[in-house]
Amino acid sequence: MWVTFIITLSLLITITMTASAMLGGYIGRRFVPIQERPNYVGKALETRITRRLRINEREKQTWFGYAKDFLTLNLLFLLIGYVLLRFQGVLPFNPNGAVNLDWHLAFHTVISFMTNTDQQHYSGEALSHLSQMFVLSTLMFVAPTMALTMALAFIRAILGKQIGQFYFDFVRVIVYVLLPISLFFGMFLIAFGVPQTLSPNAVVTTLEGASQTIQRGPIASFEVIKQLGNNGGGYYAVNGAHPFENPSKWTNYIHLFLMLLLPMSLPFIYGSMAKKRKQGFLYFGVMLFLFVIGTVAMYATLYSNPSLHGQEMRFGAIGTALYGAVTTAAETGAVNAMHDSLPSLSGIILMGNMMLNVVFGGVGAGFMNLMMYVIITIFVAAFLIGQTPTVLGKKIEGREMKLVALTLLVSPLLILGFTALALVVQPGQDAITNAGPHGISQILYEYTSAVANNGSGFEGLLDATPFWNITAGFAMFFGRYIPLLLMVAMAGSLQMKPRVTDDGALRTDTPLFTSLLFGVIVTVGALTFLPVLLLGPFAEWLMIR
Amino acid sequence: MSSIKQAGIVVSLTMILCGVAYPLALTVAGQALFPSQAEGSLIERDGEQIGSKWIAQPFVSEGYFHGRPTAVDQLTGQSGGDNMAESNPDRPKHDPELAGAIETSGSGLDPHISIEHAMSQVDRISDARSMATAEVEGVIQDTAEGESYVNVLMMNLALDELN
Repeated sequence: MWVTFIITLSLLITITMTASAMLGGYIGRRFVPIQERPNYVGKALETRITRRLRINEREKQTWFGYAKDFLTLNLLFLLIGYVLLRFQGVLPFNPNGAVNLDWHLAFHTVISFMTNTDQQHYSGEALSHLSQMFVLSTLMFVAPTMALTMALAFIRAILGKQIGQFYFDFVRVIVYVLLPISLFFGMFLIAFGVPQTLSPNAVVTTLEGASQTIQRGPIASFEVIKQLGNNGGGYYAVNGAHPFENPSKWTNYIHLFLMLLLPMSLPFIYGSMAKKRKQGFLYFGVMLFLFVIGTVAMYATLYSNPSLHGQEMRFGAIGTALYGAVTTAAETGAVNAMHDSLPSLSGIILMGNMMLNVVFGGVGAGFMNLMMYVIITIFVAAFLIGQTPTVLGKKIEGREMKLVALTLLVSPLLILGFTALALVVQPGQDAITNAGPHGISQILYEYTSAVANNGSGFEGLLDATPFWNITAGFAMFFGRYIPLLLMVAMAGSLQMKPRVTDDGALRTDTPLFTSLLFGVIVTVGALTFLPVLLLGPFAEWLMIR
Repeated sequence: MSSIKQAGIVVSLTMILCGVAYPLALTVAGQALFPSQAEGSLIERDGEQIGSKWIAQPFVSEGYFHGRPTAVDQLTGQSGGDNMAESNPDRPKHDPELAGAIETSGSGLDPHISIEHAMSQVDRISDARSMATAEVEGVIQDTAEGESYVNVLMMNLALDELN
């Protein structure tokens, strides 16, 4: 079993890494500032469209202008999405008679899909076709695009290049990256048995003569962008465990590949845009190392505990372990087994991946978190050797370090703060369905998943209440926007600075620096979250062994 | 152009492109190339639809293979697990001889059972159908195609073919 696991993991990493390196190079070439961009198919059409939108890509946008456009578009999507969900009962395209969502459920759902989290507190049939198309499906493209544009702006800024035009990046990410890949792999999913139909549910007569409803719909188109964009929301309540979302081990591998593709490509995008391929590769290496440790540990927990409770036969222990590790590493949030029922110790890996949020991490967000740790490491290392800390020839000073420190504090404050709150108030405690330490884990998992914009859950938690909709809604909102904006502000601040000579400056593309970076990530992550992980999954393990 | 108007144009374009055009394009292509899968891999017998290859249906009679325990009513098409943690006292203990036979599945609609689980039902089925046990075991082997799990509906269809 271990041999099969190691071969499977190596193949998954090799294939996805190769594809990610190619995709990263492609994105890197396509998204350099216009002056550096060669001619390509579609450039003329693109120019015509942007002229109509009155966007001039040669016009210099500051990081502040870029962030302003980013926020305007986010707020508009949030507002329209909220209104559509709140009033879907009286709006058209509602053949199954879905009713208006309560205000707190509409609030939670629209934030959930806008922030790339896709935590679901509504039940599957609660949405109209209009809500499915214009809120869920649309936002599943919009959310990863938003994070990717911010990551592109961030990379350009720290490289001292022009930051670009937000709307231009936004449209190009959807048209050149997300749509083509989705269409291509959507066909694969259909071929392997994922339905894609506009027909109503089928009603069949079973072999024993009963009448069974087969719920179906346009699932493949939903499934592929859900994984590629690290969204993770399920078409059905049980997500990727449902045989129509994930009918075989082959579709399981396609899911794993798609979840990792974009997060893995970010270091290569950086390497390509910065023309520092070695550096990109080393950043990739740090994340890969963290990923391999977590994934091997995940398989070990399932290997030593062969219970199939909450798991599907067709994936086996390997397919289940890989899915759990990948979905939390890449912050997708899809599941192919009920995480609540997995071995107690696996909770440490699942939550640990989300707490670190740099084990590849979500599209764009994971890479920006890594760069936050890079700057902390430079800061620490430079002082150890008595130098002024610089990154890419720019001095790191008080202002940048304040922004970095703030970013670092956001996620522990939100996760631990909300968990503590839910543990002491009645509406929080009432949601627990597994008594003892696992009850703490259920609450901790919910907020960790919300803040890291993952979206998976210990789904036993009874979270369809105003308390959970409101607190998880805020956790997702702040967990998303505060770090993104702080990091782009930090990059903007670096961009304005004069370049100092980097003769004799600390080199960041060495194995020594890379291992120091790894140490900083693990130390900072472990010191922050270890105590609460001991109270939850570890205490549960001690209790039952 | 005001920034709100600019954002409004981008919002409507995105909704039409990603919310309508993309799923429609994939539906047209999928229905053209893989019509059976795209419709849900429905199985017909004597001109009547009897189920989907991928969705478990409840079996209770002695002469059919039974599927895994489930937390949902499979006839409604709803999905769900029972979300019992490892430490939950109500959760049944694992039996390695009967992998998956006493544990609820993740989806509640798992169409497969383990080979061991299937073999444990051979005597009951051969009694009920007055078939040789070797014939029932043959159905398991043929349907499993070398995997460690086997599709319950496909086995039961094969049983009905035989007698």
